Amino acid sequence: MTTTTNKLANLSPKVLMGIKNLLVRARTVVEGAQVGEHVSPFRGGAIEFAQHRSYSPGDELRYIDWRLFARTDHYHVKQFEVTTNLRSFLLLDGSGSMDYAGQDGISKFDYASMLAGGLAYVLVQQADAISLTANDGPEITFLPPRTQTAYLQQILKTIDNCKPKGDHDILTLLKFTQDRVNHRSLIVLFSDFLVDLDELLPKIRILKSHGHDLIVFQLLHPDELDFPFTRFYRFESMEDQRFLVADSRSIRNLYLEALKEHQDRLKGAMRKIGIDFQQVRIDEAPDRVIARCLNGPMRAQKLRKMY
Amino acid sequence: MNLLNVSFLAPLALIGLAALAVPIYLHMRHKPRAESFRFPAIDFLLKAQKKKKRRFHAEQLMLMLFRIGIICLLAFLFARPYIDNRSTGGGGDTGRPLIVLLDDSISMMASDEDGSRFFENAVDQLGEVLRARSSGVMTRILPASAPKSLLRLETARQIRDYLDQIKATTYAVTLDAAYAEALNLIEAEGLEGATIRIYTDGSRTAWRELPATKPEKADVIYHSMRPEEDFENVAISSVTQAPGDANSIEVALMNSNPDPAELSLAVNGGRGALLRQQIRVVEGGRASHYFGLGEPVPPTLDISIPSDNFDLDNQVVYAPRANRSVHVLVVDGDTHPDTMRNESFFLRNAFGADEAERYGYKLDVVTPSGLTRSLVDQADVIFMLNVEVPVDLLLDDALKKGKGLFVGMGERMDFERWNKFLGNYDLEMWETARLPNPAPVDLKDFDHPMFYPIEEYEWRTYLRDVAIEQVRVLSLGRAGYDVPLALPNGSPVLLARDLRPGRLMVWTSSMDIDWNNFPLEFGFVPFVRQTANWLASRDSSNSYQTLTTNQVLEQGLVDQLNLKHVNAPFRGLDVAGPKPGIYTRQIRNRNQFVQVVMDESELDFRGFATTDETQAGDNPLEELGFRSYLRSDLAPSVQIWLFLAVLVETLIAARVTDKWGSR
Repeated sequence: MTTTTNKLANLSPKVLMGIKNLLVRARTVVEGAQVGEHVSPFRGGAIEFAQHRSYSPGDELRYIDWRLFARTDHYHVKQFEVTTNLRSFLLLDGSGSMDYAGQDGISKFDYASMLAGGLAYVLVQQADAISLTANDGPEITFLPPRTQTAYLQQILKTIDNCKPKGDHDILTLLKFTQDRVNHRSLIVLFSDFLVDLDELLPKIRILKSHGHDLIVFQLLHPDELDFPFTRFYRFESMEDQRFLVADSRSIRNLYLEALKEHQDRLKGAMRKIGIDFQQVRIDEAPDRVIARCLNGPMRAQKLRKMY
Repeated sequence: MNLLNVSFLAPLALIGLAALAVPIYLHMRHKPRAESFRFPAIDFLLKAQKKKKRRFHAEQLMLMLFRIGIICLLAFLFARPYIDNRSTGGGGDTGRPLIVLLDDSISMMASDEDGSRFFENAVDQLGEVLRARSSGVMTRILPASAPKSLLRLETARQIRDYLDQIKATTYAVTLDAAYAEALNLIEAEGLEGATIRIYTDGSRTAWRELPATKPEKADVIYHSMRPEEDFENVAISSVTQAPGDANSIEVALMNSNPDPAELSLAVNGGRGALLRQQIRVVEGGRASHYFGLGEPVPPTLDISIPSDNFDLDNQVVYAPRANRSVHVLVVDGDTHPDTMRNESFFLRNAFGADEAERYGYKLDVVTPSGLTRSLVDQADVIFMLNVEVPVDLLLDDALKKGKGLFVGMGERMDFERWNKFLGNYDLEMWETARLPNPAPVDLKDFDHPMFYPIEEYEWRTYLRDVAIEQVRVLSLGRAGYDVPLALPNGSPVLLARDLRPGRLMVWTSSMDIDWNNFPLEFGFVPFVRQTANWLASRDSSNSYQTLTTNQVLEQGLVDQLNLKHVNAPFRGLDVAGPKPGIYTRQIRNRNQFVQVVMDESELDFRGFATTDETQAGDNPLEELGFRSYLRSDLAPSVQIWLFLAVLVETLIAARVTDKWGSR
């Protein structure tokens, strides 16, 4: 942890977006997450103990088994067996609605990219296999799971090249994933989930029932959550031709009601299914979000249970 | 307050209601101005909108109603509503006796803003009142011009049927007589609890003397037809010959507004002869302007000022007196080789010499031998100057035909022959008297019409340096000769007699400088011209008269007047009484021009507020207890409420529009 990264911690999404390179951005985010008070449970958590070996200079001190030292008066270093069966699938929703940026200019997709990048970074550092599934127009871009560090570059580049548009939403991604992922895996979803829950939830349940571990990030713009508009607008859908002409102020309460209803139902369903559900306001600092996710009670519990 | 009693002073403004189509059209094709905004959570908005939709439509409808309301109120405001809550006689008293005082003087023909005349409005209002009464109820109508003329009509129905025959008159009358008659009626017939309704233009001049008290037994409702504000009248109060200048006229204006008036006075002589003058008349004051008329003076002049609320006094037709030229025949018996010794030389010069026609004279100068009957027949005035023998037959004939004869003395006159002629007219020449000292000439009888219209002091100036050296002594018979000019000792210098027809004037001295120096004095010119004018019966007192309509009616002259020109605004106007204009009238074989003008009291529209009798704004009649007929002008609060309503509606509509339409 250098001073530089310290400074980079807790940066607002706006500042982060100033960093052009997604890799740097992702690393900044992750480092920001790791300078936090919580310790990442991922550390070593995904790796099973293999054997001890004699310490040789250059080994990290934290891997020295102090209990063995006490017994044997020799330095031994714990060696872990790198698990190959932990695969992480990042599902990035590239539907039109993710392109909403409000006045700040940071779209939900940008934000999701940062989070996804950050997580990818963490996972690659831990030598986990990462995979990316994202909408790219009508096509679905799929990068199969790999563990190479260099693969991170490719993943991030692909994310960077995605442009959210159209009504190809998370449902297609879920369907796609459901068809392809057979092994028990970590599936991370980035979406706004502005979809019909009746269609969404069954798919989530199926994935869950396949034994996958799901982390769900729902990204919502403050505009969507607070509806701060005061004027008369012709609201147009970002995915299709639907529109609505209405006075913002008069419709605000009803809108918030409808949104709350949706959110309550979504959260309730996720909790019931047992999914780590993170609702994210995209004006939050992304490192906080990642930290919260990694250290959240559910994740900790899950991890303990799982590993 | 009964809403059914709302009437409108400007009902045409209600046409503005057609503008109601605008908000309705806007509503029908309503597309709120809205900026597009791409928003991801459209689903929730649509869900919310389902509930919202009904309210939105209700608000739209409300907006339309507000806009309609604005237009309705504006139209209503411009139509100037008034509430006549007394048209039914003060609420339920339609059974009480009613006495109507109708001001039918010409000032009631003034118009309000929308052009309808007060008299028509008054008759309309009266008709409404009468219709609200049951047919048989005791009702009387007293026109101001002849209070007793319609007393035979006794019921509302009879009066109602007769209403369309009542006309305004040019007679200038006040309401005093009719009011007194109304009080008499109440006393005489015991009409206690009667209502007196007075319909008048509302000016102070409608009363000679304001009533001192309100009658105890009657209720008085005062209908003032004039608008309290915005009533403007500037009148051409008189057009007269300018004194001392036959070619000029004097136009006087009278302003009865509370503000000064600046207006353009135009004198139009036809054929492109147009004079204009910008004149300022102070509030409640007068101003006059002289117009010099170019030659030849047109037979009639149209004098006009811009039209105002009372248009009848804005245009006057006038016949300038100077327009009828006097044909003068000068018979000069003096054949002296020195022109300075010739009478005709001075006379010609006095008439303007070669330019005589410009001054209204046609001049023929002949010697006695050149005198012919045809010349005499053409002439209006014959000057016989120092002629040896009178041509008796010709001159007698001329006098009988109404021509004027001027006899100037001189050495050459044959006493016997002249005395024979003059004897017919009660004159006799005796001798030529040389005065010991040159004597001045006195104005003996300034009332003589030949002096009119030049002022006395001017005549005295004209005659100041005249010195008479010789006169011919004449004896006067019984006949009445006027002696306009005489010597200080009383012996006549100028004798004048109106022979009817024909006029005779004898100048007892010479008309050249043989016996006096008068021809060299500057008074000679006006003297000669005034003399010729009088002899030609062109003097104003007899041949040209200005009469007011009242004088015409009161002197019973209506039948004697033959209309020549009527003032333009009166053409086609349905009023009783003589219309102002130019008339001719035959008096003793002579044609007299009569200029009929409106009585000045009818031109003065000053209300009570602008006269000195009251404090500004007070109406002494209302203070007496006369109830004023309520109109919007008198109830500005109604207008203020309407205006506030429009304002509030506009604000609400603007707010709603802003809420929906702004960015």
